[in-house]
Amino acid sequence: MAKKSADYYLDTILSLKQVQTMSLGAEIEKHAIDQPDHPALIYGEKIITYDQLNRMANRYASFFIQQGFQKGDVVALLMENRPEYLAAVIGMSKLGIISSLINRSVRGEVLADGINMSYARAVIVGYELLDLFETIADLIRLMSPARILVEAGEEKHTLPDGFDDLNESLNSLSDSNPETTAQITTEDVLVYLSSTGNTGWRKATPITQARFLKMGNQYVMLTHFDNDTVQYMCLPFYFNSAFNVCFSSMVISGSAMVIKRDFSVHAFWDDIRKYQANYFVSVGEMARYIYSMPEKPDDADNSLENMICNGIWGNLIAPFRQRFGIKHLIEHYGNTEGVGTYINHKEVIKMCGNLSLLGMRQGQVIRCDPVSDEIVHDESGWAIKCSPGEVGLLIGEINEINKYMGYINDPEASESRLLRNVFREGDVYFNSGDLVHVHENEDISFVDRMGDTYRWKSQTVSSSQVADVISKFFGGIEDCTVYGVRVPGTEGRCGMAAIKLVEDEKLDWKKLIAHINKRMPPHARPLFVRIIEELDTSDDLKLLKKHLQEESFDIVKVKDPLYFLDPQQDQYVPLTSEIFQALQEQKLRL
Amino acid sequence: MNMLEYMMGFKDEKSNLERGLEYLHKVNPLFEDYPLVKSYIEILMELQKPHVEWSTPNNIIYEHQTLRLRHFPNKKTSRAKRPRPVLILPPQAGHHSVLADYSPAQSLVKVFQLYGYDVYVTEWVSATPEYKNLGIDDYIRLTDEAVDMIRERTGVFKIHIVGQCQGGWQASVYTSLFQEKIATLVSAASPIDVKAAPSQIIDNAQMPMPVFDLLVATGNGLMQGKYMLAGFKNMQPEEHYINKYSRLWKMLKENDEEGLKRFKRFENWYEYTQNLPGRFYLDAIKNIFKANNFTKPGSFKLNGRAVDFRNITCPVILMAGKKDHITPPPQQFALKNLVSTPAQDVIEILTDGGHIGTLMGTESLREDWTKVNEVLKLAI
Repeated sequence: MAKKSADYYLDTILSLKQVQTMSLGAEIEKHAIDQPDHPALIYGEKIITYDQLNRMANRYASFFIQQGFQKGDVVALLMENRPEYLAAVIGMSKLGIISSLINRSVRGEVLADGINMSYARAVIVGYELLDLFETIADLIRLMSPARILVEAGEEKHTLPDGFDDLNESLNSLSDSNPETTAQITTEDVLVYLSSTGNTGWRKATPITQARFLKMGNQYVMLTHFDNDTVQYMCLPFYFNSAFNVCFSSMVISGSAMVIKRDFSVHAFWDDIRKYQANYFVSVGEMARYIYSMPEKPDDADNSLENMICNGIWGNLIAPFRQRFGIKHLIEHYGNTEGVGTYINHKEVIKMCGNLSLLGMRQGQVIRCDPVSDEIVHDESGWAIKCSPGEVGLLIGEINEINKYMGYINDPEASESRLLRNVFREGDVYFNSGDLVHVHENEDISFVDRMGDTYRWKSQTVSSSQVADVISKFFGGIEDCTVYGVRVPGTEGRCGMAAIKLVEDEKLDWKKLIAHINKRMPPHARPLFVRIIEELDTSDDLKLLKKHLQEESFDIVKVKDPLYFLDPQQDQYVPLTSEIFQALQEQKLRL
Repeated sequence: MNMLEYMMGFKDEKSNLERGLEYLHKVNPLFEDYPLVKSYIEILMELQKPHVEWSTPNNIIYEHQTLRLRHFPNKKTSRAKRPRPVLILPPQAGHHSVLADYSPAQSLVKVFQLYGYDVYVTEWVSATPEYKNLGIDDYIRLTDEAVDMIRERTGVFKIHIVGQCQGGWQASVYTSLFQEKIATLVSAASPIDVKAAPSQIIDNAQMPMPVFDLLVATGNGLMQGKYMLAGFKNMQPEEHYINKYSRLWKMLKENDEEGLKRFKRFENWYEYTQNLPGRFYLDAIKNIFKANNFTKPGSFKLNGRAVDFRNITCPVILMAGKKDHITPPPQQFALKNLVSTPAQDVIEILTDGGHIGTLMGTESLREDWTKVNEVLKLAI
């Protein structure tokens, strides 16, 4: 397949201003004709070509046609990373069915909410997650015909009543392209992705075909991506970076993608060499984990050339590149529900992007009060743009290319992310909720997340949701607030809970951790707990949280009882000066 | 004061038990457990005068006859985001309605509040002779007054109703008669089909009707709470007449402050009894415990309307305790076969607890009532 020019991609991006019949399904069908034998997906020892992937997808399309599903219907997808995941998304997208990609790292009520919020008519559950699904089956609300379809691969399993084996049906169905693909336009919704937003409560944001295609073109054009690229993909597909960056780039370039169920630092370099992968997108601390492995003489002897990072520690970039012989290490930034693309494709050290991309304006940075988080206005009431050297709130420019889709079934939350009349009457911007540092030439670097979320272990954690889970530990807890605190030597912030106990009640710590573990994934569990006398929410909770955040887990400043979630014991233990010291000296692995 | 005067309690407010104890200590200074025995007696004396109190701030918004409707405002959820209101019907079988808000750490009201609900509870006050002729029909009428009051205040057309034990069948009967006002029915540990599984309380109810008439007659038309309490206790005599006393002693010996606090709180609630209108009690014995009329659609009428659970079409959540000796789970779960609600909209929750544990135990509140709330969120 001939290499395409930068102009080709740029023209495609610009053409997306207009609605047209262009889609994920159409792109895959095109590749199946143009390069049928080119590897599309590599999974373990299995190579799936574009022709095979297209046929797999078509069987899903045939199934849902047979079941009477129509354009605009929603199907929730709860599955680990594997080829069937993408085949299902592609197949359904050919009919205009929206796949709601479910975050499988959450548990209980939050997981059920993730499925329920999309008003899906069916859910596809990977057999590997059936046990997890059964824990919340009673809490699931599906629209008619409310099908629960289990994707069990080639193996035969006995399924519980009410669960249908999807593979049994798929095998006998047509693998021809459905007629409907040609009717799908760029304004149709492709998937719903889950997001915590800036209020912390999980919401689902619609991703249109246009956004998916735009991002694919942007990343292929700017991040050294072409048809020969072999990318290594170990992020969950429901991540914005996985779906809108990795998968879209693969589709636009017609290249190959190695799929892994999870990230394993121990398997990483063996896999890169085995598959001769040359492109990798990392999030959060992945790069630090890779770098923290003991040095080996053959560290630089690998095929990896390009690495895209989100949240890499700036001082790590140069040594990382040098040690592993990485040609390009590019930082990028984005929000699932946000508008604008920020890619530091010029590789300006420590930057995560620029306020313009390919001459197109992406956003602005405006002044805001560091204590109240309120936007600062000039005498005329307009927001004030930050100058180089200043830290401010990043706002995304909503325009014909960077459209804002908001959240599904939540107009109030959707509107809450918009800033109107910012620089002039009638303008509208997207409030990213993130503080960035403005540098020369409008380059930006990430500073912190405002609002009710914090990032830990590469994942955004909703402090309200964590507080909600802890508050529901009925018995000893009167009230609770949660915030992120920094721990030396780690990226992001870990969770800390300030808990007010019911008067005269003792907390059963063992039961509390069991309650938390059952309902929260590891990255969301608060590492520190502070028992607090007063948590009067009638006062400004935001100010109180700032204060608590400042005091953090400093045993000198804080006189309240402090507890630490000991990773070895998986129990909260009193935070002693020895533990505190060990944390300061980065001797404890968190 | 001589010994006789001392024992008789002249010029003294102390009980005979306390005085006896002091005497023993006086004649035998080596009585080393004296402080513990003294505390033991003091606790038992204190429990002779039980009292109840609500744990969560609330307001009385309506009173009529034996109904006192309490509103527990939810300060954490804004009015715009508040889901449908929840009305809890605690049981009236001799105990106080505070069961629904038993302690700050053990409150069903608080569980619902944390899920964002605005909560209302029907407090059923002890019947006085004036109300001795109130029957089940009157309690359904009073329930309707409470429901209408809530609907009027909130502007919400359908509310969620939650019945505990006796309140469960009351909520079920109410829903069958006023389905248009109820979004979801939750019934916990409530006898619906009393023949679905054996239980002592049902066996006892098979005594001839004149026995129950006599009980009511001795209360001048009221069924006295103390009789009902004795009935419950007699179902587990070892626990109520022997074990709990030795447990109390053990807790004192071991200085188990937490255990003592729980013991005192529970006994205080358990020993506090209320009277029921005689007619209501006899209606229940006859129609529910003897004739099992809930399983026979239309077999009894209230205010001229036949009680027929087939009129229930809303989502139903049923809860029962594995160790419940008062209402074994099949008696409660039988409701699913009597309603018209589609099977997928009936949720059964089996708790690990017994009767009281299911209704107000910490574990049940944390695990099972949480699940009720999570399911309730699905109801539109």
